[in-house]
Amino acid sequence: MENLNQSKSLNSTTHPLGMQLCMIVQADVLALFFRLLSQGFAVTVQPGCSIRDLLCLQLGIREEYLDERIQTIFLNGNAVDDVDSTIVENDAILALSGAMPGLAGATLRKGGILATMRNSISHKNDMASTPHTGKTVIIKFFNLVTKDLGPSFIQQGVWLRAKQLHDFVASNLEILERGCKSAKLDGQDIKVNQILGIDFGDNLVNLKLKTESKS
Amino acid sequence: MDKILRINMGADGGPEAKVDSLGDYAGFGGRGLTSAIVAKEVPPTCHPLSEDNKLVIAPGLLSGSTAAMSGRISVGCKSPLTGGIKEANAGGQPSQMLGRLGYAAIVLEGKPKENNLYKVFINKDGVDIKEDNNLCMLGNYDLVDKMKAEYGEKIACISIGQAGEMKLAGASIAFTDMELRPTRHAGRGGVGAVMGSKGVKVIVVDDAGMKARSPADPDKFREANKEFVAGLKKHPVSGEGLPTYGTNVLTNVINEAGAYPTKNFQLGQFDGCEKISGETQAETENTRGGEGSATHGCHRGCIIRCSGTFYDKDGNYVTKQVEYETVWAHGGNCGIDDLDAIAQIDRLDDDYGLDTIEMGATIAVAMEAGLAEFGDAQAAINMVKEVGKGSHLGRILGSGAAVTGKVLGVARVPVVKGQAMPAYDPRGIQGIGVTYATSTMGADHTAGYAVSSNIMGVGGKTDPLSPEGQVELSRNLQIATAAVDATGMCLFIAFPLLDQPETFQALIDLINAFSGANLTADDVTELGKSILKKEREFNLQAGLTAQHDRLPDYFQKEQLPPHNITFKVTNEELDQVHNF
Repeated sequence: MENLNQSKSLNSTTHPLGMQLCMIVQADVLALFFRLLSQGFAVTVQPGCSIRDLLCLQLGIREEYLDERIQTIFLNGNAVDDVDSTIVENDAILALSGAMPGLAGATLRKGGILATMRNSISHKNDMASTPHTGKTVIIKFFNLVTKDLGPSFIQQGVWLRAKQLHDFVASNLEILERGCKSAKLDGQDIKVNQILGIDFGDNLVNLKLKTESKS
Repeated sequence: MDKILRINMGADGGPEAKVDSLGDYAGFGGRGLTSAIVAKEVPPTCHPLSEDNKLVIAPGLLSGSTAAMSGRISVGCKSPLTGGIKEANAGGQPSQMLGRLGYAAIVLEGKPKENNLYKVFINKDGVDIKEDNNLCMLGNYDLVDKMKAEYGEKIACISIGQAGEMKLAGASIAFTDMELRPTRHAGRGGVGAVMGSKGVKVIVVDDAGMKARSPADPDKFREANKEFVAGLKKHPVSGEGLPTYGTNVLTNVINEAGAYPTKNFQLGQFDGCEKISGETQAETENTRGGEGSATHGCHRGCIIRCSGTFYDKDGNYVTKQVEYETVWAHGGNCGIDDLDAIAQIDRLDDDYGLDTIEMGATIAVAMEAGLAEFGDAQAAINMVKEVGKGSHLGRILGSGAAVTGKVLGVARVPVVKGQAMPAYDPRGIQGIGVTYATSTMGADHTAGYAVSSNIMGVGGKTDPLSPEGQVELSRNLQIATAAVDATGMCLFIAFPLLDQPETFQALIDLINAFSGANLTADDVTELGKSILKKEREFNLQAGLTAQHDRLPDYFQKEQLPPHNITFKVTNEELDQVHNF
């Protein structure tokens, strides 16, 4: 299924937020990187718009996909019911999931008939908001959304916290050394284990993956 | 399925089996049948481990037929954990086999006069009950291996481990899966202790020579089944999410909602959640490979296949794919973020025959008491092993969170009617809190499932924005769930039923084509109501009143981070749930 409008740019690769790490990995380790997407990645957008505008107009996700497949949404940990009236501010955390099983799954669903059962954690439009001076929003992909959108996003590049990348590499070093064919940091060749020795400071790192089949 | 097998374990001269007709119980199955028998035949004030209690094992109405998803089995009794009526259910193979053999229920009655252990063998030729004290204190895995050696590979087993023999209130009853492993458990409420009190270690079922049950109208049945299966397959939850990630797909989402009980319900989010999420679990299983790794059914005829098989790093079988509730109970609730350790504990629970929810909650209470640090996986493993050994500490832990909290002086004990809460903090999802409080079963997440109450029109239409909404929804869901539990259908059919009216109609058509009845949605609703009323009446006579329909006080006082909320539904509102 085509879930993205290809004409939309997800992220500028020349963004000044931090360094760019490009990796070519075997296709069979791609799913490992999806863990990073469920922890959250930054996107540079124009906040202060509705969830629909953010996801569809700015990030290129198709409206049908948002309406049909993304059934569970959290904004700053609050369950969202209406993607058109809910405004995403700067530094917000927006988590996207498919429909979930069970009573809890039905309860958390956007606009579901059981929404009242989680009233205490539902997003309300009068919730306090921060002035939107910056241009960064954290997105989290879960489950089917990761499976559907993850490959496109991660191939075009996602901004990660340096510590997040460091911890990921450290805890999966063996697999990454086996599964990574080559890596470049800002255009310079680098070995996977050398990533652990780099001080990225508090900056973000843009991780961009390409996959190749096992030879 | 027109007969009930009754085994009087206390008969003079040893256990005695007889086969009864269904009589007044005709038309009942699953929870409908277990609760009907317990409510009518068990004195509500009896001790749950006494000869007066009865253990009822009942396949669903459609079990033994070729209907998809019809392999759930219910176990009922008076619960040693809650003191009220209990129904716990499981997947696995025995339900289909008992159905094909024609048994609507097995009822274990009385109590052996001597302290002996028995095995029961059931096949098309009848029932054979033998004393076998060599089985004493075997774990479920070794026990099933022995039964395979004795009766062959084409059997299914219903058994208890050490916990059931010791009559611990956290004991479960194991049902073997398609690979003849004891991985499917009727976990809740200490049903394993009641089986232990009857002196029955294992029931071996062999349906060789029997055919699938025939529907009253084969053509309509085939058509309805086809429509039902198509509905399950096309829905994103049953057709895609559950097969891909299993039930543990909920971890990330509940954590994001801030409703993931962490470190004995002190927090609503767990830092290590991503390491134990369904996504990580599925990816780990797929990477490690092995037969039935990430997508597998728990019984024949399962279309959804939300289960799987967990292998260690070296490819050795450990346990089935660990389910959400278990990953939470032994994971986030104990501060543990190691999937391999959680899988080991699940294996131990299955082997000793313990309810994973109760054990996880109990270990977290013990951690809060200072017996171990939160996050110490080895300490958690050791605590479960204490139960298997039957040490004094183990017997306390195996008796559940409420008992352990009392013994260790812990005030924060997340139980209702003595039964530990599952993996959703009631302060985050308050409607589930209403069900925890008021369910006839004690704190139970499956008692009020999201099963088509809207389509069935149970209790009329609810204004979703009204403050009464949560009470009314919980009531409607509990009624609908009781009805589905009677069919023996897996509860994961819920979402397609909720979203797709044609799939709900296909289920009704399936039941009607099979039974020759002409049920309507209203009849199904009435069935659910009648089950709940029987259960409620039993509990009242057993001494469980409205005062027991409460969450522990601290849920109304302690704010749950990150949302910093308390449980707000009033006692007066809770008391309205059973007004129907």
